[in-house]
Amino acid sequence: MKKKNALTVGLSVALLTSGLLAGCGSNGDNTSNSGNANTAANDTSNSGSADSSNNGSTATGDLYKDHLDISIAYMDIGTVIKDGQTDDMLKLIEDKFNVTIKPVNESWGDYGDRTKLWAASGQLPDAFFTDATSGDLFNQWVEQGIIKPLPDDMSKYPSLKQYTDLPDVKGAAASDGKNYFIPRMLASRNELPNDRGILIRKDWMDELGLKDPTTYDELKTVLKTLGEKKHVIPLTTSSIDWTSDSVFHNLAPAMQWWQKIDGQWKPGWMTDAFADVVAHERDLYQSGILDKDFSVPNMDAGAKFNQGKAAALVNTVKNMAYDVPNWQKENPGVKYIDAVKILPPIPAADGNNYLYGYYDYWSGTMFNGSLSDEKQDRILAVFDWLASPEGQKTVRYGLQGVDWEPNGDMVTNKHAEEKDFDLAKKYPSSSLFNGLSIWSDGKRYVEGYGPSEVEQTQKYLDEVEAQQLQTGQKAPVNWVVNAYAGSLNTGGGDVQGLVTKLVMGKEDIKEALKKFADEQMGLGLQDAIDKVNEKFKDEN
Amino acid sequence: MMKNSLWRRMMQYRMYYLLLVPVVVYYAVFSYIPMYGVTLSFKKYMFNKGVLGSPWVGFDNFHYIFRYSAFWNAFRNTVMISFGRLLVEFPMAIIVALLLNEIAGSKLKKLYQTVFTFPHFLSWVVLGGILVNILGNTGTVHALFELLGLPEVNFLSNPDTFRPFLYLTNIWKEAGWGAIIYMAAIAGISPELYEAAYMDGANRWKQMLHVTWPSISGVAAMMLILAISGILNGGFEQIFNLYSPGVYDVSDILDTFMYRLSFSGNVSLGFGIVTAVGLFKSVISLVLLVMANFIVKRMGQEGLM
Repeated sequence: MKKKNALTVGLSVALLTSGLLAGCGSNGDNTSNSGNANTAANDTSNSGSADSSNNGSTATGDLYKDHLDISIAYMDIGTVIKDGQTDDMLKLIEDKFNVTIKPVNESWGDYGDRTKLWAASGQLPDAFFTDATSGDLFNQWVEQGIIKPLPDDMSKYPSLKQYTDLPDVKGAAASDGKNYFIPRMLASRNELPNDRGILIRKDWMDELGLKDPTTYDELKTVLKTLGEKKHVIPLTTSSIDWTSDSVFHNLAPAMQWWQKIDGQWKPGWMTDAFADVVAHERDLYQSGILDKDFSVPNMDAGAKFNQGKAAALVNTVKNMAYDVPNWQKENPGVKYIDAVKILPPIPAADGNNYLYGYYDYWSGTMFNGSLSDEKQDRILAVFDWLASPEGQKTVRYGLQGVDWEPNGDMVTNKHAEEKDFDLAKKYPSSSLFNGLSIWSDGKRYVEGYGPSEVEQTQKYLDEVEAQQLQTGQKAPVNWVVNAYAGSLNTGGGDVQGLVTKLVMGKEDIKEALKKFADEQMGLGLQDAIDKVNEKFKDEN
Repeated sequence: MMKNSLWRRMMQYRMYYLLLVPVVVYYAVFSYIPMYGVTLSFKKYMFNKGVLGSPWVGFDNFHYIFRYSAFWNAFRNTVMISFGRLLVEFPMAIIVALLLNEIAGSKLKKLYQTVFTFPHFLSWVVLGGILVNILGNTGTVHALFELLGLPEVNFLSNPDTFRPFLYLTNIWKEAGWGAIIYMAAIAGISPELYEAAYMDGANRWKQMLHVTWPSISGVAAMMLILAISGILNGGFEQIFNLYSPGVYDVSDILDTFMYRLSFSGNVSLGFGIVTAVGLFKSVISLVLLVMANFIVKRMGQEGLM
């Protein structure tokens, strides 16, 4: 009996203790295959490529003889690449390059946190998404060998080389002169008229006989009238810096862009023009036009607009086409582009409209510092193909011969007339591949637009963009200077938080911005200003 | 000799000691071993060298944070909000317990207790969403205020109302749960005491004052010490899910400040600086705990140490 008791106690203790210690072990999820997988993957034989059906792709041949496992971290990759999920697009790419993609999941809400944790725990995947392509953290990682530079000679990857050779990408090189990321290219270079803007209820404006405003006062009147007559919030937003860029980009370019004022380079938020932007925003807030809850966490401004609770919305207007389903859910039977339009921007004092601008890219792909050259080469080959016209056609329209047929440089989309066709449903991995290497090469591969509401919305968007590109001026921003300035530590203060506070408060705006700048000077900003002015004193 | 007798006693009760092993392992593994991490506050963290290999930098990290006005703002808020919680929230659990005790029917008592306890089981992530929906400017409360002709109040973004809003929502969520320990203490009071008091002519109020309260004041003192030791905790989960830049001035506490320093944006001040903030917080908490324990003991109650 006594022995039995001792055995029970002993076993329970062993079980509890091992349970406790199990918590300390490796997390066992797919992130653990990163890093360590580097060597293991090379041993794997040619499996998976031998019976490659190829589907119109080039044969793997000797070029990609060894099968490799590559771990990639990207937003929601775990939901589009899953065991047991048939996906011919994924198969095509994996067969073509003789690789198996090991997904390492992250989301739009946590990718920054996760990347830092992986870096700190030595678990970075082979290749990973990051928007920290410059700045203090980036420099630390370069210095400490956490990330691997791109090869000096990128000519093996012509589709990527055309992008890594661009001046503002080269300008973002690390202090050792090397480039550490593949830039995720945006559709148009440095000019993104539809990236920031205001969506407004066109039907309500027509009903009330309101015309497009051409001055700030007129804008206020239009929004106020809509708010009062329709009993709604006149203008809603969930981001104050988006508001600065969308409503007031003709007063001052975005707050982060360095400007040369009186012969001296400094961050945009330190200029008088930016203080003016904040004053205008405070005016909108205090006169009841700007949504009082704009800073509230998790406030869904888009939903408020779609539900008819707001007359206008500060938004990434180029995403209109993606918003169609949300609109339809809230407003069945009402066509999106019949009810909503992009409000033309209020011109600058000189009568011009300066287009919203950005670098040629947003975010990039980086490589684990311990990655072998062979593996990096294979990943670059995949990315190069994804950025090529053939790859772009595949990720946007599906497989050649199955979903589209070539038509010169263009494609004839076999699903063009299918109203409800969804490429992401047919090939879940398409929603990964269409942003993995680049966002877009800026080309359109089909002629005309389909009958679906999404296609019709895209047509409207393209028309607005074409018109703005024709009539607008380039943003007055020097992208090379900014690429360098963006890589420097400027103190780490929260400008956006300060602006939010100023818009909602009563403090003297210029004084508060100056006080903030003074504190940042001692924390690194002064050094950054000195460096930029020294390097670019003759630039404008 | 002494050693031998200790060893003998240990062998005699070896099964109990064996049962203690998981607890000891738990604390060693999860509480004591990770403490080496605090050395980071005197180091510049290098991703490639880890906690142990990173170079020492003396008090540089502390010098850095002490120059940062946002740090002092967070420190001030932590103390203010925590004292506010102590004054406003701490007594609420006792009041709820006393009131529940006065309810006559046991079914009704149980019903109220369940109703008051339930919100504890909702996470702040969920509650954050619910509160934004109810109190936002398209929510029910806004519509009600409008209907009654009351002025608009932006509970979630107005610095003047944000702290009371934090206290009220936390009371709603936690007072019922906090009352359980007092209810247990009340249940342990001998009915004879009440009967004797009744015989002496004490009414319900007098009974509560002279029987119930003295019987639970020891528990209240212990809870107070625990609350004071956690004074610099301020309630990360709640604040993180409800605050926004517009109310940072009155709501940013050391924990939310550390979180933002560690993770938000591409600005990395380094884990060393963040750990320095954490260590600073722990040292002050320890001092407060010792002080509270001392004061409680001086007041004649039993302390923790």
